[in-house]
Amino acid sequence: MSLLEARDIHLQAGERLLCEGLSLHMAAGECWAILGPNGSGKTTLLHVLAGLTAPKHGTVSLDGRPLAQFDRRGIARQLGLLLQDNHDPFPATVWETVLSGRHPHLGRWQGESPQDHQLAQQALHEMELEALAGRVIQSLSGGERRRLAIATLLAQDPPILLLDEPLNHLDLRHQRQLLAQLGQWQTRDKAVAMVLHEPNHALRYCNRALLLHGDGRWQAGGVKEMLTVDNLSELYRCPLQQASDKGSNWFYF
Amino acid sequence: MRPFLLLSLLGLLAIGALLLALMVGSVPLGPQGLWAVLQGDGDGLAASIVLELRLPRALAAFAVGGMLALAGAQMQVLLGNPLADPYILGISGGAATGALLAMLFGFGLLGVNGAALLGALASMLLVFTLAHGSGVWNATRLLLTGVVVAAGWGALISFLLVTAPQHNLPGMLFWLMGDLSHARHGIEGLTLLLLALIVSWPLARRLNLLARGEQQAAALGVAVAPLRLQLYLLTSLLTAAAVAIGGSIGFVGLVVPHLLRLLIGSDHRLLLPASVLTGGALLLVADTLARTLFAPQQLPVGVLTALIGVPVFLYLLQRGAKG
Repeated sequence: MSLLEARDIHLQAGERLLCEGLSLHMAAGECWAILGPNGSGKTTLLHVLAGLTAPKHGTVSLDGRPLAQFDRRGIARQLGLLLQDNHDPFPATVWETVLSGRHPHLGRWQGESPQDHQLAQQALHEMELEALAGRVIQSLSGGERRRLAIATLLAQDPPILLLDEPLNHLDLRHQRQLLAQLGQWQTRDKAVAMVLHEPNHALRYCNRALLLHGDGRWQAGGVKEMLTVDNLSELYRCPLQQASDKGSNWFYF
Repeated sequence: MRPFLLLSLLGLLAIGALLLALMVGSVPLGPQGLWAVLQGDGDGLAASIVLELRLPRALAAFAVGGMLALAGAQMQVLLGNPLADPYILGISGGAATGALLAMLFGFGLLGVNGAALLGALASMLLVFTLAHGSGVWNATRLLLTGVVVAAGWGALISFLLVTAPQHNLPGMLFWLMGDLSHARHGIEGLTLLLLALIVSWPLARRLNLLARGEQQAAALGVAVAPLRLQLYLLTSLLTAAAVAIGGSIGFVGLVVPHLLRLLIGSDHRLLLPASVLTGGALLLVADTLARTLFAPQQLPVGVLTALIGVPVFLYLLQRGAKG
């Protein structure tokens, strides 16, 4: 069943048409890699899918109902978005921040229950942030902040996860852990879409790929069919090579 | 347990400030004297001083301080800037222009308060209409519109001050610095403050999210535009009421919420009531000092809030930079 569906979406930056007539089905168990050159509309697409920006043309549906029929809280219970950057002008602790992921599940007068605390605790554990729970966000490093944002998304625990460059600022170990964790999300019947800049990650950890060329053209399909040397060289306007090792392909330049 | 303890402590602090304000002054009263008056069997002079002069003024001071601090805490989130204060969008400028005009035309106290309220509401509508004009309602646009409108009011205020007759000037300057010596409407102010706190408190968890940015808040299920509108109306009405009662008293609305953020963190479920109690208590103490330090000469309370606020704030910033 398709959890999230985009139909005939146009993406624009000012007057420039980035993507024309995009249609997409995201189903449970799918992990989408969104690839494209800088400024090709990857972030814009995620914001449109999350309902933060209305598309110039076309509709997005969640569980078969147009997004416009949901309120923000209803959307946030179904769909989580990891933003490309977080700004935190006000001091808040790591614990307060991760707990805020539970917001869409709480009623107006409700406080966080022990179960909410447990989910937040679990999210901190998965992102290896437990020891920093009492720290103020402003004192964290870039990578730690990134993991905190992901932990907040884990605490939110929506069936659909949209991640904008989730590997930004992460060291190699945490990159690998996060990508491996995506596999677990898929088996938990979640749908994942993430903006990536490394086709090899997409090839290893995703099963679907969307290529945004930035000039209106787009391609979507299974990751193995999409990620070919020709497609990628054209997508990035940069000649790429391919190597094979133990039956798997690697792209490099 | 900890939030409850903190609010209880701040509550005790506020009560302490109130008792102090009732006891000290040109006719000092001990605790027993005050108790007698409150029981209804003190001597006539003490009773009328406490009940007719000190108590209404103290209630007004607490209400104004609480309103400014609450409005400040919310304004900082609305504009996404921890250094915003309730006056930044020109509400106090509009109020001041109204009040000074009323003074020039020789209106009484009620007329001046009323004109201040009208000026504040006019400024609020003006900024709202201009910022909302094109349908885009983001923090930057609101801030710029407000700041420019405030600058316009500033020019008008200067014009009124230089063209006003000499005998009007002291009253005008006192008003501009913030002065509670003729403040009334404490009960009305407290009622409004309580109502505003009751309306704001259920918004507190959403404020926590909005403080982390518009997009993050929206992604976690906050309808940002209606929340912004509610915040704008709440902060404007609170500021308008506070300024109408006490003139443009500076620093309370900036320092109190900021100081509390540094000390107790940014959970607005705790921060909003804590701001009300601290703001009220701080202004009450400042006003008590303002009328007693150089008695019989009364200082405008705005001078005292700045004198207390500046060093405390600088100390906290230094401490924050080290820790």
